Amino acid sequence: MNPLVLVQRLLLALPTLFGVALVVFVLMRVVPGDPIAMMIPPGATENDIAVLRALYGLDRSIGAQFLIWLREVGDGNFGTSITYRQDVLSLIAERLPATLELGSVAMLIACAIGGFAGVVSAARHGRWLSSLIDSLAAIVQSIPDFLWGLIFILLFGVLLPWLPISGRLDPLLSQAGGTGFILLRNLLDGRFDIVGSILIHMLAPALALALPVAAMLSRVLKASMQEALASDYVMLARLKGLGSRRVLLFEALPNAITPTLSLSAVQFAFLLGGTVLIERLFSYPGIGSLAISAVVGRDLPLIQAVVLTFAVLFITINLLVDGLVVLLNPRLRSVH
Amino acid sequence: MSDMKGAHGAVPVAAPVLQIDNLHVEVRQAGRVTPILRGVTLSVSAGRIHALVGESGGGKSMVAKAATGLLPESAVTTRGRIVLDSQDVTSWNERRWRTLRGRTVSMVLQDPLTALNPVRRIGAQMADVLYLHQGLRGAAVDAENLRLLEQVQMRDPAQVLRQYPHQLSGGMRQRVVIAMAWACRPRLIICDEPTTALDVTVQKQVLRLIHKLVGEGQGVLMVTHDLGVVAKLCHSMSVIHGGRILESGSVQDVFAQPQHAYTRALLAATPRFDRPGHTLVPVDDGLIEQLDAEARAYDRCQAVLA
Amino acid sequence: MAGRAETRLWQRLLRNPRVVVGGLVCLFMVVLALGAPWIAPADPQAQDLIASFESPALLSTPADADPDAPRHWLGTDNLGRDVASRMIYGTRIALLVAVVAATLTALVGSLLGALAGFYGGKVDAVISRLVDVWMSFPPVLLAIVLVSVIGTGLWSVIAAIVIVDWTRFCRVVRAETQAQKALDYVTSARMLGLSPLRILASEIFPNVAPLLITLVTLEMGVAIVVEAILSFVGLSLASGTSTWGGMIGEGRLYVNQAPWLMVLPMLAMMTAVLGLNALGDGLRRELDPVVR
Repeated sequence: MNPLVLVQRLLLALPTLFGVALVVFVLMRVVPGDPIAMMIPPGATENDIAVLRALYGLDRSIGAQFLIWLREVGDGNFGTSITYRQDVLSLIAERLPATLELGSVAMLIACAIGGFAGVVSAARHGRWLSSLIDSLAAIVQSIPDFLWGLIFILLFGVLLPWLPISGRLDPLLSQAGGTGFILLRNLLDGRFDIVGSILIHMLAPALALALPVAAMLSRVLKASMQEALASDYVMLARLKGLGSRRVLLFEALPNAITPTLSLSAVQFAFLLGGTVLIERLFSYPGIGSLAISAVVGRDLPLIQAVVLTFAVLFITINLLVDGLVVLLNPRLRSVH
Repeated sequence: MSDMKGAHGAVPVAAPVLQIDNLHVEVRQAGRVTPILRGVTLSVSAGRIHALVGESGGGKSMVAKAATGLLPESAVTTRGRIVLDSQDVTSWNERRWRTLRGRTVSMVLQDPLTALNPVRRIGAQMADVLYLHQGLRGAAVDAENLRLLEQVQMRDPAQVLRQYPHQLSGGMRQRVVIAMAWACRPRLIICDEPTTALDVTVQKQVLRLIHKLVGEGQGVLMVTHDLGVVAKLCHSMSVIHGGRILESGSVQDVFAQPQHAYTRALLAATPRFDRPGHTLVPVDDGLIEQLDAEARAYDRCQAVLA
Repeated sequence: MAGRAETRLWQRLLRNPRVVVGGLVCLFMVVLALGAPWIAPADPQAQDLIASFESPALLSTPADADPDAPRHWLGTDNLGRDVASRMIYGTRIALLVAVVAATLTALVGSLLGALAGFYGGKVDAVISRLVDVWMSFPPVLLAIVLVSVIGTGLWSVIAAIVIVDWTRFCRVVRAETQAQKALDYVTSARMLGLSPLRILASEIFPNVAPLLITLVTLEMGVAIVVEAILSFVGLSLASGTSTWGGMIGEGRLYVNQAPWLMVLPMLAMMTAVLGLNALGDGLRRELDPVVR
């Protein structure tokens, strides 16, 4: 294992994070509107407004505000949400698990569908099945997750009401389900009735997020598989007398999967970005819908924190998959 | 130029390991028919190394693929037959071929770097044929792997088994490929340019190794364009161009008295250390054109006869 | 002869099904957009509350319909506005945003990418770091935040798209420029003393052009979707103007009683995006010598 490379990446991530925080901060301060103006009750005096402004630190210069914000962030204090009147950090902590669960389930679905389709298409290349898969993949990939969400709302909301299209689980079960990582916890507890309700509520939004990613993964995997199948070592494996399924899954696939994996990391990050809209569409209580409420409500502290959260997620995921790639590819492990 | 052939007996034994008779193969793709093998006849006897010599594109690789059942899907055998270990395999399907591959016939590929799976350890890759054809498991596999690597004169075999291909040198990798080819003691081993991708110093070692490994009842088909290898290692040879066998016989006879103009041209283009003052002569374009014309004429005759 | 090669290119393009289908879709959109005032059956803003929620006349006409009343081929919405007309005018907005945003994004991104790829060193380091930071943001969120900052309106939508997506072009052009720069013909051009700008324009650009064309068509599809998203969230143009996204957002509220209000603009969007992607893909296949 070459830990040096990972440490290097980690160190590179920090200035990126800093840059992200800076950009968000400056951006929000350029806001033409005045968030305070939205909050003041009628009949407030000049003094009240000044006090409020000081409370949120909006009376200082941008530079000073940034430094203050940095210091507070270092202390773990992200401020108070203007619209929700609640501590920002706790607000995010409340909603983040829901999005993480949704994103993970969606990514699993995407990898399963994409992986299967890619391998089948490569194995049956030249025949009708392969062409069908490829054409479907091209069309599915062209339709963004937002549109898929709308399609599913139409489909499951109006035409075939098989799936619920809002909420995280059956309201009757919500008390028993708890909060936070409810899918994980109830799975471990064995409460399969709750798990079932959660999964069914997740299915439509997860599919909407997963389909375009699955389509892309299948195309990339197919190309990698074709390359692997044309290699000498696959020919040698056949020469040893190994069957075609074995060759496909145990000789070609392990080699083809590495480039696809790094791509999946980027895709996972974009998928999480897609939760912003999908959660809103399906009334799913995660940080995606929180982000939209924050922007519409000009809630500065909340917007900053949410954007920073997403950026941290992006960067973390990229780091993790970089590590995974090193793990899987023996050539990258030794220090040259 | 040392000659390694003396060690083996001079008399070939029993039925040939590989017998190809009048093999015609054509490729049918996008409505076009291209003949690639035009009446190829050759045989490899047990205990012998037979060379298949020719330039690239002359059909050598196709013969090797035909002998292992790996011809592309677009290739069709129209006439002739292939007999491998006394079995007529000419029209065998994939399922039947799989019973032979690795066990009765095996191949040493040209580039050992691409011939080995980069993400699997050497030991695992070598174990494949042991699991499949000999039913070995567990400790027996490890023991056999060690034995095979010792047979190919690998230093520190235990270490090598745990390593990945990129951690070995080119020569070591080729030894592994050779070890895998000989693992189940197949009757026919096809070597496809086994030394071309190696350094000159390593080439000699690998050739010596191949020579040493040819056991009783085993035959080697050496596909090569390097006449030096043929002279050093092989007992008999066939010269191929444009999918036709132009000349064949024992290496001594062919080298001393080449019958076909193409063979003469190939020999003239090869540096000969036993003949100082010999000038290199590239193969004449006119000769190639003539050969191509002959091939086309052959095709027309075939079409009429069919 | 250059003429012969050009005609061969056109022939090849016209024979590629993707190019033909995609091209026709785009042509159709352009015709609708340009000819909107003449093609649209009614004024898209005209409200007629009595005739609200009429189902599309294409599907069915009630037997007792008044033959003098105007026919609404695609129905009317909650305010009685003719859906067909709204969709046609929506095409205008979509196309305008698509073309302008895609072009600007391509310009900005390509320029920065070319500079980074050609000069390397500090310039490259700065620009690459910038790209990294930029790509840490979820694009949708960034667009929404930007528009809420800049304010609504056509130009803020376009600006948001450019600011969010320039990195796509930057990365590709940078990689391509680096690759080309390493080739001998660029070295000889530099030896001859040609200025970097000339080299970029005359030597590198022609090689990058096919790829850029594909990316631009792709970007147009992205622009249409982003505009729709922003309209949907209520952040695009004034609510009076007809945009596909706005129609979808409004239609969502009445999806049970009048599903066509949401379905029709969705179909329009999907057709546009699929057409553009098909065109881009087809062009790439024909123009990229490596793929051929």
